[in-house]
Amino acid sequence: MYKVAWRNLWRNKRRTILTISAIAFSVLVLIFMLSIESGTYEYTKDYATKIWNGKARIFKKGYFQKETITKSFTVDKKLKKLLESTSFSWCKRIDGYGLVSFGDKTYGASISGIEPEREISAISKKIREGKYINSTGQVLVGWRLAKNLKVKVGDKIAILVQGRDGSLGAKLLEITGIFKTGVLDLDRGKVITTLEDADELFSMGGRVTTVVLYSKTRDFDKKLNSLEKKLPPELELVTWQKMMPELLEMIEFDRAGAYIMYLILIMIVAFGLLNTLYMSTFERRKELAVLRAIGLTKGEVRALILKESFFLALLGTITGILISLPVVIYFVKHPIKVGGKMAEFFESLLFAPLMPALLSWKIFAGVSVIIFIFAIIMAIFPGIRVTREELSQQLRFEK
Amino acid sequence: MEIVKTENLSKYYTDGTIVKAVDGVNLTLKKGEFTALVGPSGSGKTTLLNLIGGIDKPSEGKVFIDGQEISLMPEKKLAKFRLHKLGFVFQSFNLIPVLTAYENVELILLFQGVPKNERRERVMRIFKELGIEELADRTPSKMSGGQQQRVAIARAIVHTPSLVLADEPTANLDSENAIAIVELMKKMSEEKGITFLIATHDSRVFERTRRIIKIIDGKIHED
Ligand SMILES: Nc1ncnc2c1ncn2[C@@H]1O[C@H](COP(=O)(O)OP(=O)(O)O)[C@@H](O)[C@H]1O
Ligand SMILES: [Mg+2]
Repeated sequence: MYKVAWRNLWRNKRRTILTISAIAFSVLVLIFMLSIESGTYEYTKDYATKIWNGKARIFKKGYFQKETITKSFTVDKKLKKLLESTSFSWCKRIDGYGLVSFGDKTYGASISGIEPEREISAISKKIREGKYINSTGQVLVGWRLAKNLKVKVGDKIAILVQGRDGSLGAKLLEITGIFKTGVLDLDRGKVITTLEDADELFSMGGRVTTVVLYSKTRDFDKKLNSLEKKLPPELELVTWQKMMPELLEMIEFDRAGAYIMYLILIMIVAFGLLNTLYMSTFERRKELAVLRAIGLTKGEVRALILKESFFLALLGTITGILISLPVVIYFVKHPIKVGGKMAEFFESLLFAPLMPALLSWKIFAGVSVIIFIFAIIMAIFPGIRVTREELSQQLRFEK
Repeated sequence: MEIVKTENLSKYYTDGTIVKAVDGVNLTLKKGEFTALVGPSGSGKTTLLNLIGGIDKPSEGKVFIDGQEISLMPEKKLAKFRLHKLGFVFQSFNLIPVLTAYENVELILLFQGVPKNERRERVMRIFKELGIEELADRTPSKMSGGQQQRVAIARAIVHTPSLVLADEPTANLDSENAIAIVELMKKMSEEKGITFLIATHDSRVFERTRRIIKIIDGKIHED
């Protein structure tokens, strides 16, 4: 019966090729879009967390709910050993708030102390003027804050904070660099100095407010879980999804929009198949009736139509995959670049201005499975239709 | 031995008025009988053949083939019954256009689940008996009507059925081919003991059959 089904396809070559092309095209667009979407999602996750926040953070319990310098902890030998046993990169930070003054101008700002050489965020690559910090007495400021304060590289700014014990801390630090991340909060309100300077300012006595974790591994969540279990009870882990809920929402919103598009494409495939199968079975009503007369059951005739649908889906999917493969590989190597104003807009939303594709067999397999499911569903209707009519009628009146 | 037996077999169509297409037919065909069912157009020949072949359900009465009542069989069983016990020859040949002559005939044995080697042997034997070996690899579109009908006969008898039902098998053929086709069926009937019932209003056919059943307005008139 496969032979009959296969040859039936080639009776109307034009229609069959058209149907196969439609399926192949949809497979291509589906695979392409899913690959770009997944690739961009993965990339954005890495990109957005790399800007400043990290993939996850360790805080003293309660800090995340209410950020206060008093909720701090020491990275002791035990914790250090635990962190080093993971495959994550990590670094310490002190985060607090204070006032930043230059001349007659004063602004409130978020002040962070980092380990310049261990720091894992991309901040060192976001310096637009001057250079990155490498020793105490130095400070980086966001470009908007610099503009507001009317400062330039080389100027010394005064920082005034309330320390952990309630005492005032003050320091005069030299601006070595001005950074631009595209993220408003950072560019407008962030001052970055060394861990040592921040320690003195806030009277931390060697304590930190957070440890930032970063890793690009796919099974990050799983590894994070095992780390969480070993963490001392007074500390907690907070993932990027919790730190940046807007980003997660945005990604999901983006996906929801794409799903409508996928649905439309799948419908194109479904109705293309349905149309072809209806026409080809309708044309052959008599022939199918003859098959039944000589001894095929209704079910066997339906199975024949199913086989034809299967072949159409198979050819369409294989063609689609063969075309998709080089396209996806190309976009893995040459991500789509978002330029100009759009890029700035993307960056301000923490979205990467780069949309790489992801080459994943799961996408290829998933799309194929969906197409096949629809091929089977779409073969049911013409099959039922053509076997519902009375056999004697079909044999009698059609040439 | 009775191959076909009908009891008060009737088929009514109701479109507006009641049409008695087949009306109380009692008929028996013995094994190996070569019979023509003769009557003018619209007399109920096709309907009667369809009832006997289990393609149509009777409004009343019963059909027995090889002692089995087929009018009560469920669809699946009936399909299998037709596959093993019956052969069909149609006016418009009705070969499967995408298959070669060989494959068209083989199809029956394929459906029956006959193994490949045996299929090949049996199909080639029938082709030889009918003298159509050279048609084996041709598709229906590459054959004349007479050639197609010969292949159709091969398809109808390759599984040596109990009964072959032929509906106007010569209507689309010229004289020479028509006569040859009837003679071929007759030969097969005699050699293999297959019962033939041929609906026709073609004198070239019924001149050559041993038995003639006349049907008018759905009723048997002469036997
Ligand atoms: N589906 C149907 N609906 C109504 N009348 C039908 C139908 N099929 C056949 N008939 C009628 O039954 C009668 C017998 O038809 P048929 O068996 O085709 O005769 P024949 O084959 O001898 O020409 C005709 O009058 C025909 O019009
Ligand atoms: Mg007729």
